[in-house]
Amino acid sequence: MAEYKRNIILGGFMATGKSSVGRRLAIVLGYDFLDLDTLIAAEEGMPISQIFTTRGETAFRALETRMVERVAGRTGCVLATGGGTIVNPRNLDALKRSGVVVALTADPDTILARIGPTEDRPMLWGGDKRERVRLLLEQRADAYAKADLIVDASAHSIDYVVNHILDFLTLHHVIARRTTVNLPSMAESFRIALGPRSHEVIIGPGLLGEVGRLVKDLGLAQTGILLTNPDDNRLFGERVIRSLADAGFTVRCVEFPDREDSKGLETLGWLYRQMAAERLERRSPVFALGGVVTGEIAGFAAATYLRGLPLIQIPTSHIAQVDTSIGGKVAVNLPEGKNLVGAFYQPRQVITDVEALASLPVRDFRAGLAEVVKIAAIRDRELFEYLEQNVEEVLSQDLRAMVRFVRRACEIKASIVEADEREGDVRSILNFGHTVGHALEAATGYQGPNHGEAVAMGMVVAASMAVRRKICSAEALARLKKLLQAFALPTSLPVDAGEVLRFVRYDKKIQDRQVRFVLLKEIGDSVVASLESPEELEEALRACAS
Amino acid sequence: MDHILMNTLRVNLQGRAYDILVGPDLLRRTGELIRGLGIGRRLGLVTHPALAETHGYAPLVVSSLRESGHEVRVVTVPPGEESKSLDQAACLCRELVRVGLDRGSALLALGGGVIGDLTGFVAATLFRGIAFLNLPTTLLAQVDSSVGGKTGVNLPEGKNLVGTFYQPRLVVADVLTLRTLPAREFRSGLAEVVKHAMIADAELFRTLEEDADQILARDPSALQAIIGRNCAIKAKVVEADEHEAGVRAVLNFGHTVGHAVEAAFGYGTVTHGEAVAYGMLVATSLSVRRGLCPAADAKRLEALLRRFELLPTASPEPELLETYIIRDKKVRDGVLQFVLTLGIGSVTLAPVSDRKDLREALHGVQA
Repeated sequence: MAEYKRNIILGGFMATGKSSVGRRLAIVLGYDFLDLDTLIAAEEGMPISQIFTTRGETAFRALETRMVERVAGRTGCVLATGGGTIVNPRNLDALKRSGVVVALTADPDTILARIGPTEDRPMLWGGDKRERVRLLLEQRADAYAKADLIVDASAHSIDYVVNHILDFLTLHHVIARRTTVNLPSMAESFRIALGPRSHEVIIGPGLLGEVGRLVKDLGLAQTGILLTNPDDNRLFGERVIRSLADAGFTVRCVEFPDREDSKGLETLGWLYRQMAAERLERRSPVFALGGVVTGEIAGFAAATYLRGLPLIQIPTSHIAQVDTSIGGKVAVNLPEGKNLVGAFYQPRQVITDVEALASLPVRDFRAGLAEVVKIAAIRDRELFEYLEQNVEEVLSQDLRAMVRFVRRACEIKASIVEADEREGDVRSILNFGHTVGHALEAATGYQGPNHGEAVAMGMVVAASMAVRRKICSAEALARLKKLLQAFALPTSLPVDAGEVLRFVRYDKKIQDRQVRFVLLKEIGDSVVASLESPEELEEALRACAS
Repeated sequence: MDHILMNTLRVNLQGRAYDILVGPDLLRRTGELIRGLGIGRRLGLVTHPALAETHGYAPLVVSSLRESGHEVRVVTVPPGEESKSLDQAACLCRELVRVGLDRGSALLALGGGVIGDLTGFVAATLFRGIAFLNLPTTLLAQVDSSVGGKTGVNLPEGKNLVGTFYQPRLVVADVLTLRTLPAREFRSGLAEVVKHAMIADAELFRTLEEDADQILARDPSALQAIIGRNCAIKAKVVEADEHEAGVRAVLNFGHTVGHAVEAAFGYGTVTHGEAVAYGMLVATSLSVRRGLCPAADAKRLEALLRRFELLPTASPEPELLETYIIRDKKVRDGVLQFVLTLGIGSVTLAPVSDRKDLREALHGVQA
């Protein structure tokens, strides 16, 4: 019989590190991690701040209580709650019955510093932020005091707080024994077999601080360059540079904007000049730290400077981690079109720190899930089922769940790339959902759905086409839609079918004037086919209109 | 008859073998020669205005390709090293996209090393790589830059800093195009021929000494013979080391100093061949100093280079040269790597950690 594991609930004030602490605790204990606010936002299909503005706090609190009751029914979870959750006695009771409640607090200065200038905290709306924080802390002090343990997180590292909580749990026999888990030891790796271009992909939490150690045996020169963007540099740059310095590397950091509109030859030329100024030589490593665009520009610069420098991809965005960091596609745009100048250039290593995903805006995180669903749908039924059965863990960014699905998605993409390194028939199944997806992005002037959301809708259209052709069951389509919806991804079109059709024709995957489509056969299997007629697509588009 | 006259040399590079065809009057047969390579219908031809207009080579190629059912878009770039820039590559990419090239198209380079390097780089990167066909029209390009897959452009900071290794699908070296080459440029190409002989072929070196007159008179059969031999030497080195991890570095014989000479004089003042000739003398002098190479071989090298009028009349400042040499990309962890000769037909890679040796050699070769 399975061992009964009481839940560990993290309550307490905003910005005290409930989620970060919770994720690590879950890893050490081997529990699942759940994040209450994330689950509510996904279920409602809008951010918490929007629930507050459109429906008010009372409505939000009702949703919160409903979600508390749902998750309190589970066991073996670490649950991060919202700042106000345990203030409500009803919630606190339910949670205490399901496990141990720990309240994290901090002094107003620490909280204000961690929050920064954001407007995403509805409880701080109206009036002076400092005053609001002080007042709320005062109001909630009594409620927090009812927790089983209070930890003051000011001036303490995540690791300190985690250890403190573990000590308490051990002392009170909530957990049987202390197991210390070294985060990087959780890392998993696999090899992409591409002959002389073979390389390792390493996936795990906490790897940004391990970069230096991980690349030490690659035969790189000691002097290199780190190419990144302002956001990733601010969040992760120092950690990466420090770990490289500890391993004996001298690496200059060069920042460039990673917007799609700056992904051109001008930025590239500027990067070359920076590389020339660094006197890089043939073995000098180029570290690409950031999302898709950073990886593509930095990768192309590495591919073409001195006819190719060793490239280390350190993807931090979701799509970069599960998709674009694998396969060696690098490119820049021309005014005439996207990705027109590029190369297939394999990195020497890919270092994927799944904890970086926790710093993403929630919408970007979900957009990345669309690519994971895509890869599962076209190639791996097992991953699809895992996602279906672990929606809450995935949405809450449970570290084990992230390592699992990121690794699996990377492996599947790698196996496709291995079979077909340069874009051919096998690799083109990765375009599932992309023909319509690209058109949707273009049709809305890149102001509407983001890439992942557009791909989600594109997949539904392509799957509907397959159902119409009777090569795919209606049940498979329904499962696809249900999973996408569970991840709060859109499944019906925001624009007119005709508009989308017009843009499909511009897509660069058009071969000999024929539009090629990737069609779903069943969950885990897909096929590339030509469009029979424009009407076929039009009908599918109409069927998916909202 | 033509077929007997043509030499075919196969370059075997993992999964990307291609042929180098050497012979007279091959350009007007381009269409026929590329048949069977699975080249798309739509082609871009990059050349410079002189080749398109004055000498009429481009029309020759274009009509041959059109006869074979291809659609050809001709794009011209100005002659000269300045065209090997990132800006020019960008213009070319944009223009080729605008005239309707796509992933299935191929790109042809008709011209010398600049056209070949630039076009090769564009072919390597446009649509992440399209088929590349090289039709070199200068001696230098025929014996050197068309073999090995190096493509690239210059940055203000240095030559060839940006580029790729990208193998062409076919190289067509029409020796008749060498007749219209300006004398100085033709001689410049001979420097690479001498270099290949120095690296790997003492017999070729003797042929050059003995047939110098026919070669300078640009006798097609004499040229065809030495071009074929040269491509074979270079191809062998490249096959052994496609990505320049080791052996291929021997091809840099004379180039470490040669690049510095070009930079010190300013690009375009001396020809590449003159600079390399000077570099070979320095490297050989350094080799003699170290007791690696017989002094007699150094004398023969100097005599041959003089016969080909490749030695500069003025020498660059040795101190200035040294600065440029140190900046060279082949510096590994601060130690200068030099290709030294063990006598005609043989070279070796050696570190030059003692700058004094180098300085003395630089001073010793002053004109």
